[in-house]
Parts: sequence; C-alpha cells; structure tokens
Amino acid sequence: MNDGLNDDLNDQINGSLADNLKTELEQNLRHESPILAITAKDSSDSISEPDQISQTSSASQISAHRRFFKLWGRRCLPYLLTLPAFLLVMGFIVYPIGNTFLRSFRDSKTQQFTWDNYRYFFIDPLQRDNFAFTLRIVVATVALAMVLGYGLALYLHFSPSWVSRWLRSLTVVPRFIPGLVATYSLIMVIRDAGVLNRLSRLWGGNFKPGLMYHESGIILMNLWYNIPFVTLIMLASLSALKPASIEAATDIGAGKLLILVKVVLPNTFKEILIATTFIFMGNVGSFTTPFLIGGNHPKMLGIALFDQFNNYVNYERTAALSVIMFLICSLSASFYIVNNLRQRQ
Amino acid sequence: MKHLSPRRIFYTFGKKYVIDSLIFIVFFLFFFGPLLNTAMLIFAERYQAPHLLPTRFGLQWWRYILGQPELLQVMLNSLLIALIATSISLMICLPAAYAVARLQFKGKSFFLFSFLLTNAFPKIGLYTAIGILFYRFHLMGTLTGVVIIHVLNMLLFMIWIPSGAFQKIRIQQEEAARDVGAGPLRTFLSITMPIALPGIAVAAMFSFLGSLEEAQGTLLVGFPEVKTMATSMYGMILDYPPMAGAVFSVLLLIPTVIILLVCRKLFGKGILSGGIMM
Repeated sequence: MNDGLNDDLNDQINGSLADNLKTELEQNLRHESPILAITAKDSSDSISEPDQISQTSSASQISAHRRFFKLWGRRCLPYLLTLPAFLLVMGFIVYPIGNTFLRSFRDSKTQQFTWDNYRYFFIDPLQRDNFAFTLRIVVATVALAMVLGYGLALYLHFSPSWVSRWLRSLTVVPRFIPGLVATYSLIMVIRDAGVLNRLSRLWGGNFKPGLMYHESGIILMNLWYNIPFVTLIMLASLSALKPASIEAATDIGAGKLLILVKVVLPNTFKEILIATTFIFMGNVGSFTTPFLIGGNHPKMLGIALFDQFNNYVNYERTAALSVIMFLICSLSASFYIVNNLRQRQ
Repeated sequence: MKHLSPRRIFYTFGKKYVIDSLIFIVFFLFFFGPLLNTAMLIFAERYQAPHLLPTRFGLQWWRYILGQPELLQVMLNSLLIALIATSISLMICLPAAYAVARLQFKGKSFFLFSFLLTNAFPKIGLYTAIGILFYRFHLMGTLTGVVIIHVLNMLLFMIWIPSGAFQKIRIQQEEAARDVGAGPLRTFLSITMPIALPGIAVAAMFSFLGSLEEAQGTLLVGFPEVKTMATSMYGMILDYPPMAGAVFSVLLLIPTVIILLVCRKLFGKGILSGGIMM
C-alpha cells in the first residue's frame, strides 16, 4: 500500500524535491524518529500545494499522521494512563491540603494573616490536655503493641507446636473484622456492666474495670488491632532470617538473650521501624475508638478535630489542627514514603 | 482436687505444653473472647446485669432490626457505594498501575510520591480538609462526595498491589504474543491481564471490604443524608441496647465473610495475607 503510494508520487512528481520527500518519508516509516515525523508532516503539507497531486498526497498525509500519532502516543502513553489518577490526587489530596494550610493562617472574619488559630491550640488548657492525652495513648500503644506483637512473633517463629500453627492462622483474622464490630464487642466486655464485671460477680466480687471513657480502654482496643499487625509483619521478617546465622551464634556460645540482641533484632530492624511508624500514624488520627470508648475530656486529637469541624464549624481552627496533626506525623510519614519508594525501585 | 493442682499438671504435661496452652488461652480470650460474646448475644432476648449468660433467648432483636424501615436503604447504600467506588478506582488505577510497572516516564517518582501522601498522614485530617472544600462545592451529604472519599481511600492500594502484579509478568511472554501477531490491546487482554488477575482481585477485594466498613469519612462527609451500614453502627452502639448492636454486627459481617470465602476459593489461601504493609 505504502509502496504503491510512493510509486505514484514518483511518477507524478519528477525532481529532486520529490525524491527527497520520498526518502524522508521512507526513513520516517522505518525509524519512527520524532524529528523526521514532524518534517514529514511539514513537507507533506508543502507538497499538497500543486493541484494535480493533492489526492495522493492527502493519502500519504494520513499515513504520516498515523505514524506521527503512534509515535507520540507511545511517548504520551504513560502520562495518559496515569492522568486520571494524578488529577484525582491533585484535586482531592494536594489541593485540599494546600488550601487547609493557607486557611490555617487566616482570620475567619477579616481574612488577614494570623497565628491565632495555632495559638489557640497551644494556649487553651483543654486543647493542651488533648495533645498530652493523645501522645500518651499513642506512645503507650506503640510501645505495648511492639513489645507484645514482637514477642508473639518470636514465639510463633521459634517454638513450633500445634499452638503456634493455630495462632499463626488466627492472627490474620482481626484484620478482617470491621472496626466497629470489634469495638462494640470489646465494649460489651469492658463496660462496667460488661462480661468482666459479671464474671467477678460469679465469685461474689463486684469488679468495675473502669476502662470505659478512660485512656486504658482506648489503649486496650488499639492493642487488639495492632498486636496482630505487628506480629504478621515481624513473622514475615523473621522468616527471611537465615537459621544459619542463629546456629553460628549458638556455636560460639551465645545465649538466647545475646542472640536476640545481636542477631535477631538487627536483622529485623527495618520491619520494626516500619511497624512502629505505621502504628504511630494510624493512632495519632484515630477516630472510631476514642469516639466510642473515650470520654468527654480529655479527647484524642481526631475527636477534637471532628468537634471543630462538625460542632463548632470553625474551619480556620479545623485547618490549623489538621496541619498540627500532619506535622506530628511528618517524621513517620517521610519514613513511610521514602521506604515505600525505595521498595518500588 | 489433688489431680488438678497446678504443679501436678505442670509436671505431667511438661513445661512447654503448659506454656503453650497458657499463651493460646490468653491470646484466644483477648482476641476472640469479645467476638464470641457478641456471637452469643445475637440470640439473646434478656441480658441483664448480674447474669453472665442471657436469661432468655429468642429472635426478638432480629425482628426489631430487620423491621427497621431504613434498613434496606442503608444496606443498599453500603453495597452501592462500595460497588461504584471499587469500579471507579479500578478504572482509574489499573492503567496507572500498568504505567508504573511497565513504562518509564519522567516524573514517575513524583507520581508515586503523591500517592503515598494519601496514606502517610492522619486520615481524619485529610477528611476535614476535603470536607471544607466539599462545603464550597456542595458535595457535602451527597453520594458523590462519599464515593470520592471511598475512592481516595482505595487509590494507593489499587495502584500498589496491581502494579506489583504487572511487574511480575515476564516481558518475554508479552513479546512472544506480539511476535505471533497480536496487537498491543490483544496482548494486554489475553496475556497480561489473566496473569495479573489474582493481584488485581486482591486489591479489589480489600478495597471493597474497606469501603463496606469505612465509617469515619462517611460520617464526616455524608451524615446524615447518606447513611451506610457502618455509620449506622455508631448509632447502634451509642443509643441502642446491646443486643441490637450484636445483630447489626452480624449484618455488617455477612458480606465480609461471603466475599472472603469466595475470593479464597477462587484465588487461593494466599489472598488473605496480601497487602499487610499498606
């Protein structure tokens, strides 16, 4: 087809210009280089001037165009494929965060620049309590979940038995229980007329756990979620650890504790960091658990934010508080991003 | 009583056995005790303070919950939102996932970076930031707004997991198809897609389940106009007697269980351990 067209061209136009054109077109068809594609397009425009060849040249124009689009399509393809997702992120993540950032420095009435929105959260005693409360809960959750989850993973990995086989498959389950169902179930156990209280009454006592509307209840719920998570991550990490390195340590007389500190911990350090950052990030902004288990004062930051947004309808302070929360998470967030990007490459 | 003394048990069965059993019991009571208690309450009719077990069993609370006029609408909302959001995010994310896995382009790291951003910060902060804008664009309390929130939640997962699946496919397999004359689209549909399907299914499954149980974003952006099963559960816990919550928990769990079982059947056991690190 193309050859036929080019022959036609050859027949009708005699001259060096036409020959040049033909070779250019052919090269263009073979090599598909962008520069040639553009020149071919330009030149096919120029040869369409003489009337007698207009028909054939328009046909060759189409073919050149097709090549042109195919070529540029290949170059643009990644951008076309990622464009919808990119626009979504720009429109609904980056733009709102930017907008929030700007708004947090604005006075709600005069629209002037101000630090007042931030100052409120650092000066107001109630808000300061909220910060301390949140940090206390998050730190306790991270520490306890890491120690218990890691301990469980060590036990499951190094002590093969029917128990560890069972527990291995059971640790997967909490991930799939909807958060609200789990929270509800725990509330039924720990509330003052809950299962614990009723159990104690069987033995004549009247034990009131006092976990509801208290930070220990929130921590307990967080542990329910985060311990299996830590265990799963650490199990994956431990299974990558070579038994030979532990045997080598045992051979030169290292005790269990020494092996743990010198061999196991350093080898799983990266996953420890990952799990820590995950739990930290997940709990700074936690909402459902403190909403249902937490008390009226102090509140976790997620609830305080919801109040500012929903009850006080003060968007400037809402914005300031979310920026503060972003800042609290920025360290762990950057670790999370860097780590994931590195994994991808 | 002598046979049951702890020391005796300890020496009869051995140290390891006792410790194993203790760990198992503590683990089981903490993680599954509450759930089993809820399972028991499903069929309770009277469950008052001093009694550990319900004093009367029956289906009264099932009748009550199933008789709620809103229930059907709420369930439909949940499924509809999950379905729409999952399909939209599939359409948006799969091409992007393919591009990330297979094509080299400028700004790829920045693209990935912007996606990780969605998961790197507290969700509730992001929701309020979006909510402020939603008020301006009148998306507050609309299905569209809720769907957007759900799609955003799925983005990272839907790009990360499928792109991992695409990356695992050997390029030679695609090239072989091209060599025998298949066009790029045909190659993609009959070679690339079937191999990547389990990975995509994992992502879609987790996204769908995540959407069904997503509560805080929906509460913030959609409540009270758009109610889902998950947001109704807040009210059930706060305002209703315990048994109502138990029955509602089961209704929330049913779709999860069905989807998990079907996916496990279709794609194997490994599907349950996918994407822990997200």
